[in-house]
Amino acid sequence: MNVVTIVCIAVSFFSASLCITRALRGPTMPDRAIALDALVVVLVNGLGIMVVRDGDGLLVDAILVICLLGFVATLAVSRFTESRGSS
Amino acid sequence: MIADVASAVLIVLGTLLTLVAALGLVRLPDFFARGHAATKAATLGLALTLSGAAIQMSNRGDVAKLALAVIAQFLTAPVASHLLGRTAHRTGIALSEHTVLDELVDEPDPTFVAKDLK
Repeated sequence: MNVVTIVCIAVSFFSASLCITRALRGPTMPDRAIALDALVVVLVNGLGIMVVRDGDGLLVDAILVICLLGFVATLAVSRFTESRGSS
Repeated sequence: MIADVASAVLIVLGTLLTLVAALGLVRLPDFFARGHAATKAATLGLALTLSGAAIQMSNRGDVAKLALAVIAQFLTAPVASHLLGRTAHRTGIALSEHTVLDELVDEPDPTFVAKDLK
């Protein structure tokens, strides 16, 4: 179990680096927004793995809050981009 | 023991699906394809990982919170993706050259506000 969680966390770090690559490179604002949205999902995924590793519920509240905050952030960026143009 | 194996399989599958989403985010040609990859694969991957975590929880409240997080993700991810896609199409983001059909290209948009054009 321990080995599985360590490997999964390493893969999650790789996924996060790919998301950050797209967020830095992405030519337009919606590209960056969707990359950061995916980064939030990867982060919550890693927190889920940490929950399995620890075996207690300390991080479960953080998972719930970060899920909802990621949605609100994406929504705000989308409204902002729509009024300001996407370059 | 069985719970451990089930949970390990679920978190491995979930992590691989989020990896697929991140790979699609880097490799696919235009915004709409990227949003398609990032939203669907990442949502299912998150659901699998959090199910794997929920199996390990002894407290019933923690299971309920994880289920709530999965439900919230399933409800909000399509909304966020659709909003971003609408913004992208309205602000005229270039489609990939492989695009076959853009049905919205000369469709009047009933909710479009003229001041956004400029």
